[in-house]
Amino acid sequence: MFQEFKNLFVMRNILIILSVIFGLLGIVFVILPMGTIAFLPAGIALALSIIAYFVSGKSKRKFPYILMILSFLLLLSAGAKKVFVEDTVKVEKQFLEEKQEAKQDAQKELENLEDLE
Amino acid sequence: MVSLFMFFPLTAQIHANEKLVYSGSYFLSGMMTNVAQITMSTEMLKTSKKSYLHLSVEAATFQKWDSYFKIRDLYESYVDPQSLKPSLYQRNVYEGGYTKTEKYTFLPDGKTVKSVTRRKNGPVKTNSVSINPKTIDVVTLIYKLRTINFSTIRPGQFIAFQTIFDEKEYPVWIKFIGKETISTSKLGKQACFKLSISSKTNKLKGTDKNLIWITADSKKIPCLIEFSIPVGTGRVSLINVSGI
Repeated sequence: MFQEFKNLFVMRNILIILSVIFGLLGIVFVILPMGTIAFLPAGIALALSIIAYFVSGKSKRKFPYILMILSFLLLLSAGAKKVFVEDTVKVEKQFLEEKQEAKQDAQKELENLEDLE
Repeated sequence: MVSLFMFFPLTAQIHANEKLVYSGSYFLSGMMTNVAQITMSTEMLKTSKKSYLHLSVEAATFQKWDSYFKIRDLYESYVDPQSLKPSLYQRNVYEGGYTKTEKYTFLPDGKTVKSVTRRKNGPVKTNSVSINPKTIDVVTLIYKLRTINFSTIRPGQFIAFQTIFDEKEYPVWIKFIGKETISTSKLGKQACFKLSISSKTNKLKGTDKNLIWITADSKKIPCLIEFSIPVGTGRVSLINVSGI
Protein backbone atom coordinates (compact mmCIF):
# COMPACT_ATOMS: atom_id res chain seq x y z
CA MET A 1 0.00 0.00 0.00
CA PHE A 2 2.77 2.44 0.99
CA GLN A 3 4.84 1.39 -2.06
CA GLU A 4 1.86 1.98 -4.35
CA PHE A 5 1.33 5.44 -2.87
CA LYS A 6 5.03 6.22 -3.25
CA ASN A 7 5.00 5.12 -6.91
CA LEU A 8 1.99 7.34 -7.62
CA PHE A 9 3.71 10.27 -5.90
CA VAL A 10 6.87 9.80 -8.03
CA MET A 11 4.82 9.36 -11.19
CA ARG A 12 2.80 12.52 -10.46
CA ASN A 13 5.98 14.56 -9.93
CA ILE A 14 7.57 13.23 -13.14
CA LEU A 15 4.39 14.02 -15.09
CA ILE A 16 4.27 17.54 -13.65
CA ILE A 17 7.97 18.21 -14.40
CA LEU A 18 7.59 16.92 -17.97
CA SER A 19 4.41 18.93 -18.43
CA VAL A 20 6.19 22.10 -17.27
CA ILE A 21 9.14 21.42 -19.63
CA PHE A 22 6.85 20.82 -22.63
CA GLY A 23 4.75 23.82 -21.63
CA LEU A 24 7.85 26.06 -21.63
CA LEU A 25 8.86 24.62 -25.01
CA GLY A 26 5.33 25.34 -26.21
CA ILE A 27 5.62 28.98 -25.10
CA VAL A 28 8.91 29.34 -27.01
CA PHE A 29 7.41 27.70 -30.12
CA VAL A 30 4.29 29.87 -29.99
CA ILE A 31 6.43 33.02 -29.76
CA LEU A 32 8.75 31.88 -32.56
CA PRO A 33 7.25 31.60 -36.07
CA MET A 34 7.19 27.80 -35.96
CA GLY A 35 3.64 27.40 -37.31
CA THR A 36 1.85 24.19 -36.40
CA ILE A 37 4.95 22.74 -34.71
CA ALA A 38 3.89 24.60 -31.55
CA PHE A 39 0.91 22.20 -31.31
CA LEU A 40 3.31 19.36 -30.51
CA PRO A 41 4.83 20.51 -27.18
CA ALA A 42 1.59 22.24 -26.15
CA GLY A 43 -0.42 19.08 -26.85
CA ILE A 44 2.05 16.88 -24.97
CA ALA A 45 2.02 19.33 -22.03
CA LEU A 46 -1.80 19.18 -21.99
CA ALA A 47 -1.88 15.37 -22.14
CA LEU A 48 0.69 15.03 -19.34
CA SER A 49 -1.08 17.58 -17.13
CA ILE A 50 -4.41 15.73 -17.58
CA ILE A 51 -2.77 12.45 -16.52
CA ALA A 52 -1.05 14.24 -13.60
CA TYR A 53 -4.45 15.65 -12.57
CA PHE A 54 -6.07 12.22 -12.35
CA VAL A 55 -3.04 10.60 -10.71
CA SER A 56 -2.97 13.29 -8.00
CA GLY A 57 -4.91 12.97 -4.81
CA LYS A 58 -8.00 15.17 -4.55
CA SER A 59 -6.21 17.68 -2.31
CA LYS A 60 -3.22 17.99 -4.68
CA ARG A 61 -4.96 18.65 -7.98
CA LYS A 62 -4.56 22.43 -8.02
CA PHE A 63 -1.15 22.62 -9.74
CA PRO A 64 -1.90 20.02 -12.47
CA TYR A 65 -5.19 21.86 -13.03
CA ILE A 66 -3.32 25.16 -13.57
CA LEU A 67 -0.94 23.36 -15.95
CA MET A 68 -3.95 21.95 -17.84
CA ILE A 69 -5.45 25.42 -18.29
CA LEU A 70 -2.11 26.94 -19.36
CA SER A 71 -1.42 24.14 -21.85
CA PHE A 72 -4.92 24.52 -23.28
CA LEU A 73 -4.35 28.30 -23.66
CA LEU A 74 -1.06 27.53 -25.43
CA LEU A 75 -2.87 25.25 -27.88
CA LEU A 76 -5.45 27.98 -28.47
CA SER A 77 -2.71 30.57 -29.07
CA ALA A 78 -0.92 28.28 -31.54
CA GLY A 79 -4.24 27.69 -33.35
CA ALA A 80 -5.13 31.39 -33.38
CA LYS A 81 -1.70 32.26 -34.78
CA LYS A 82 -2.14 29.67 -37.52
CA VAL A 83 -5.61 30.95 -38.46
CA PHE A 84 -5.25 34.73 -38.06
CA VAL A 85 -1.59 35.50 -38.79
CA GLU A 86 -1.13 35.56 -42.57
CA ASP A 87 2.10 34.65 -44.29
CA THR A 88 3.17 37.87 -45.96
CA VAL A 89 6.43 39.09 -47.46
CA LYS A 90 7.59 42.56 -46.50
CA VAL A 91 8.11 44.68 -49.60
CA GLU A 92 11.49 46.32 -49.17
CA LYS A 93 12.50 49.45 -51.01
CA GLN A 94 16.18 48.43 -51.02
CA PHE A 95 15.43 45.03 -52.57
CA LEU A 96 13.23 46.64 -55.24
CA GLU A 97 16.00 49.12 -56.03
CA GLU A 98 18.55 46.31 -56.26
CA LYS A 99 16.26 44.45 -58.67
CA GLN A 100 15.91 47.55 -60.85
CA GLU A 101 19.67 48.11 -60.74
CA ALA A 102 20.32 44.47 -61.71
CA LYS A 103 18.00 44.88 -64.69
CA GLN A 104 19.77 48.03 -65.88
CA ASP A 105 23.17 46.32 -65.48
CA ALA A 106 21.86 43.35 -67.44
CA GLN A 107 20.72 45.57 -70.29
CA LYS A 108 24.19 47.14 -70.53
CA GLU A 109 25.90 43.75 -70.29
CA LEU A 110 23.67 42.30 -73.03
CA GLU A 111 24.36 45.25 -75.33
CA ASN A 112 28.10 44.80 -74.77
CA LEU A 113 27.68 41.12 -75.54
CA GLU A 114 25.84 41.91 -78.78
CA ASP A 115 28.78 44.08 -79.86
CA LEU A 116 31.04 41.03 -79.57
CA GLU A 117 28.87 38.96 -81.91
CA MET B 1 18.66 4.85 -70.69
CA VAL B 2 19.77 8.46 -70.84
CA SER B 3 18.64 10.62 -73.71
CA LEU B 4 20.50 13.85 -74.19
CA PHE B 5 17.71 16.37 -74.17
CA MET B 6 20.10 19.07 -75.16
CA PHE B 7 20.27 17.68 -78.70
CA PHE B 8 16.51 17.71 -79.19
CA PRO B 9 14.90 20.79 -80.73
CA LEU B 10 12.69 22.74 -78.38
CA THR B 11 9.36 24.37 -78.88
CA ALA B 12 9.40 27.01 -76.22
CA GLN B 13 6.14 27.47 -74.38
CA ILE B 14 7.35 30.16 -72.06
CA HIS B 15 5.84 33.58 -72.61
CA ALA B 16 6.42 37.02 -71.17
CA ASN B 17 4.44 38.23 -68.15
CA GLU B 18 3.92 34.81 -66.59
CA LYS B 19 3.93 34.74 -62.82
CA LEU B 20 3.95 31.72 -60.55
CA VAL B 21 3.92 32.19 -56.79
CA TYR B 22 4.87 29.41 -54.39
CA SER B 23 4.98 28.90 -50.67
CA GLY B 24 8.12 27.20 -49.44
CA SER B 25 7.85 24.99 -46.35
CA TYR B 26 10.51 23.27 -44.36
CA PHE B 27 10.22 20.06 -42.32
CA LEU B 28 10.91 20.80 -38.65
CA SER B 29 10.35 18.09 -36.04
CA GLY B 30 8.28 16.10 -38.53
CA MET B 31 5.96 19.00 -39.26
CA MET B 32 5.89 21.52 -42.08
CA THR B 33 6.33 25.18 -41.38
CA ASN B 34 5.95 27.90 -44.00
CA VAL B 35 9.21 29.75 -44.39
CA ALA B 36 9.36 31.69 -47.64
CA GLN B 37 7.60 32.83 -50.77
CA ILE B 38 9.11 31.96 -54.12
CA THR B 39 8.07 33.91 -57.17
CA MET B 40 8.90 32.87 -60.72
CA SER B 41 8.21 35.50 -63.32
CA THR B 42 8.99 36.32 -66.92
CA GLU B 43 9.14 39.52 -68.89
CA MET B 44 10.55 40.79 -72.18
CA LEU B 45 13.69 42.89 -72.28
CA LYS B 46 14.59 44.74 -75.45
CA THR B 47 18.02 46.03 -76.30
CA SER B 48 18.85 48.05 -79.40
CA LYS B 49 19.40 44.85 -81.42
CA LYS B 50 17.58 41.94 -79.77
CA SER B 51 14.78 40.85 -77.50
CA TYR B 52 15.41 38.61 -74.51
CA LEU B 53 13.12 36.72 -72.23
CA HIS B 54 13.98 37.70 -68.68
CA LEU B 55 13.38 34.72 -66.37
CA SER B 56 13.53 35.43 -62.68
CA VAL B 57 13.20 33.40 -59.50
CA GLU B 58 12.86 35.36 -56.31
CA ALA B 59 12.88 33.88 -52.80
CA ALA B 60 11.90 35.94 -49.76
CA THR B 61 11.24 34.78 -46.22
CA PHE B 62 7.83 35.56 -44.76
CA GLN B 63 7.86 38.63 -42.53
CA LYS B 64 7.52 36.49 -39.37
CA TRP B 65 10.95 34.93 -40.12
CA ASP B 66 12.74 38.15 -41.14
CA SER B 67 13.93 38.94 -37.58
CA TYR B 68 15.44 35.45 -37.20
CA PHE B 69 16.83 34.57 -40.62
CA LYS B 70 16.04 36.88 -43.49
CA ILE B 71 16.37 35.67 -47.06
CA ARG B 72 16.14 37.85 -50.16
CA ASP B 73 17.48 35.85 -53.09
CA LEU B 74 17.19 36.80 -56.71
CA TYR B 75 18.17 34.47 -59.55
CA GLU B 76 17.78 35.81 -63.06
CA SER B 77 18.50 34.65 -66.55
CA TYR B 78 18.22 36.43 -69.90
CA VAL B 79 17.51 33.95 -72.64
CA ASP B 80 16.58 33.73 -76.29
CA PRO B 81 12.75 33.74 -76.35
CA GLN B 82 12.61 30.83 -78.83
CA SER B 83 15.44 28.47 -77.93
CA LEU B 84 15.81 29.51 -74.25
CA LYS B 85 19.56 29.70 -74.80
CA PRO B 86 20.98 31.84 -71.99
CA SER B 87 23.07 34.94 -72.62
CA LEU B 88 23.32 36.26 -69.08
CA TYR B 89 22.72 34.85 -65.60
CA GLN B 90 22.69 36.93 -62.43
CA ARG B 91 22.43 35.82 -58.82
CA ASN B 92 22.00 38.18 -55.91
CA VAL B 93 21.81 36.40 -52.57
CA TYR B 94 21.09 37.70 -49.07
CA GLU B 95 20.76 34.90 -46.52
CA GLY B 96 20.87 35.87 -42.83
CA GLY B 97 23.55 38.52 -43.36
CA TYR B 98 25.55 36.53 -45.90
CA THR B 99 25.62 38.08 -49.33
CA LYS B 100 26.81 36.84 -52.68
CA THR B 101 26.51 38.24 -56.15
CA GLU B 102 27.28 36.37 -59.34
CA LYS B 103 27.12 37.29 -62.97
CA TYR B 104 27.74 34.80 -65.76
CA THR B 105 28.02 36.09 -69.31
CA PHE B 106 27.68 33.38 -71.93
CA LEU B 107 30.14 34.52 -74.60
CA PRO B 108 29.17 34.25 -78.29
CA ASP B 109 31.77 31.50 -78.93
CA GLY B 110 29.40 29.18 -77.02
CA LYS B 111 32.26 27.60 -75.09
CA THR B 112 33.06 30.20 -72.45
CA VAL B 113 31.34 31.84 -69.54
CA LYS B 114 32.81 35.00 -68.08
CA SER B 115 32.00 35.10 -64.39
CA VAL B 116 32.11 38.00 -61.96
CA THR B 117 31.49 37.04 -58.33
CA ARG B 118 31.59 38.71 -54.96
CA ARG B 119 31.01 37.14 -51.52
CA LYS B 120 29.98 39.37 -48.58
CA ASN B 121 32.63 42.10 -48.27
CA GLY B 122 35.24 40.19 -50.23
CA PRO B 123 36.92 41.31 -53.43
CA VAL B 124 35.29 41.13 -56.84
CA LYS B 125 36.62 38.06 -58.64
CA THR B 126 36.50 37.55 -62.37
CA ASN B 127 36.98 34.19 -63.97
CA SER B 128 36.60 32.44 -67.26
CA VAL B 129 34.95 29.01 -67.28
CA SER B 130 35.05 26.63 -70.24
CA ILE B 131 31.65 25.11 -70.86
CA ASN B 132 29.83 22.70 -73.10
CA PRO B 133 28.00 24.63 -75.86
CA LYS B 134 24.66 23.38 -74.48
CA THR B 135 25.35 24.31 -70.85
CA ILE B 136 22.61 26.34 -69.22
CA ASP B 137 22.14 28.06 -65.86
CA VAL B 138 19.82 26.77 -63.13
CA VAL B 139 17.03 29.28 -63.80
CA THR B 140 16.88 28.32 -67.46
CA LEU B 141 16.90 24.66 -66.42
CA ILE B 142 13.72 25.13 -64.37
CA TYR B 143 11.98 26.74 -67.32
CA LYS B 144 13.31 24.18 -69.79
CA LEU B 145 11.55 21.45 -67.83
CA ARG B 146 8.31 23.01 -69.03
CA THR B 147 9.28 22.55 -72.65
CA ILE B 148 9.88 18.79 -72.51
CA ASN B 149 7.60 16.74 -74.71
CA PHE B 150 6.65 13.97 -72.27
CA SER B 151 4.68 12.03 -74.87
CA THR B 152 7.98 10.83 -76.35
CA ILE B 153 9.50 9.75 -73.03
CA ARG B 154 8.87 6.50 -71.21
CA PRO B 155 8.63 6.23 -67.41
CA GLY B 156 12.07 5.49 -65.98
CA GLN B 157 13.85 7.27 -68.80
CA PHE B 158 16.41 9.98 -67.99
CA ILE B 159 16.97 13.32 -69.66
CA ALA B 160 20.40 14.89 -69.25
CA PHE B 161 21.26 18.55 -68.93
CA GLN B 162 24.52 20.32 -68.36
CA THR B 163 24.32 23.25 -65.93
CA ILE B 164 26.68 25.80 -64.47
CA PHE B 165 26.47 26.72 -60.78
CA ASP B 166 29.07 28.22 -58.43
CA GLU B 167 31.39 28.52 -61.44
CA LYS B 168 31.38 24.76 -62.03
CA GLU B 169 29.65 22.63 -64.60
CA TYR B 170 27.36 19.90 -63.29
CA PRO B 171 25.46 17.23 -65.16
CA VAL B 172 21.82 17.15 -64.05
CA TRP B 173 19.58 14.17 -64.73
CA ILE B 174 15.84 14.42 -64.91
CA LYS B 175 14.11 11.09 -64.49
CA PHE B 176 10.56 10.85 -65.78
CA ILE B 177 8.82 8.74 -63.14
CA GLY B 178 5.36 8.77 -64.69
CA LYS B 179 1.96 10.37 -64.34
CA GLU B 180 0.39 11.01 -60.94
CA THR B 181 -2.69 12.90 -59.76
CA ILE B 182 -2.00 15.22 -56.87
CA SER B 183 -4.03 17.71 -54.86
CA THR B 184 -2.92 21.32 -54.98
CA SER B 185 -4.32 24.27 -53.08
CA LYS B 186 -4.51 26.48 -56.19
CA LEU B 187 -5.42 24.07 -59.00
CA GLY B 188 -7.28 21.37 -57.06
CA LYS B 189 -6.78 17.76 -58.18
CA GLN B 190 -4.40 17.77 -61.07
CA ALA B 191 -2.88 15.10 -63.30
CA CYS B 192 0.86 15.72 -63.30
CA PHE B 193 4.11 14.47 -64.75
CA LYS B 194 6.33 13.37 -61.89
CA LEU B 195 10.03 14.04 -62.32
CA SER B 196 13.04 13.28 -60.18
CA ILE B 197 16.12 15.49 -60.27
CA SER B 198 19.61 14.27 -59.48
CA SER B 199 23.06 15.70 -59.92
CA LYS B 200 26.68 15.01 -59.11
CA THR B 201 26.66 17.58 -56.34
CA ASN B 202 26.37 17.42 -52.57
CA LYS B 203 23.59 20.02 -52.74
CA LEU B 204 20.92 17.41 -53.52
CA LYS B 205 20.50 14.29 -51.36
CA GLY B 206 19.03 10.84 -51.86
CA THR B 207 17.60 8.91 -54.78
CA ASP B 208 14.23 10.16 -56.00
CA LYS B 209 14.07 12.54 -53.04
CA ASN B 210 14.07 15.69 -55.16
CA LEU B 211 10.82 15.65 -57.07
CA ILE B 212 8.83 17.98 -59.26
CA TRP B 213 5.23 17.58 -60.36
CA ILE B 214 4.39 19.42 -63.58
CA THR B 215 0.80 19.65 -64.77
CA ALA B 216 0.12 17.15 -67.55
CA ASP B 217 -1.44 19.71 -69.87
CA SER B 218 -0.18 22.20 -72.44
CA LYS B 219 0.69 24.74 -69.73
CA LYS B 220 3.06 22.40 -67.86
CA ILE B 221 2.96 24.38 -64.64
CA PRO B 222 5.29 23.16 -61.88
CA CYS B 223 2.78 22.82 -59.04
CA LEU B 224 4.69 20.91 -56.37
CA ILE B 225 8.36 20.46 -55.56
CA GLU B 226 9.79 18.28 -52.81
CA PHE B 227 13.45 18.63 -52.00
CA SER B 228 16.06 16.98 -49.83
CA ILE B 229 19.21 18.97 -49.14
CA PRO B 230 22.00 18.44 -46.57
CA VAL B 231 20.22 20.62 -43.97
CA GLY B 232 16.79 18.99 -44.26
CA THR B 233 13.78 18.44 -46.44
CA GLY B 234 11.03 20.71 -47.63
CA ARG B 235 8.23 21.39 -50.03
CA VAL B 236 7.36 24.18 -52.44
CA SER B 237 3.65 24.46 -53.31
CA LEU B 238 1.98 26.59 -55.91
CA ILE B 239 -0.28 29.27 -54.42
CA ASN B 240 -0.93 31.60 -57.33
CA VAL B 241 -0.72 31.68 -61.12
CA SER B 242 -1.15 34.55 -63.55
CA GLY B 243 -0.39 35.24 -67.18
CA ILE B 244 -0.34 31.60 -68.28
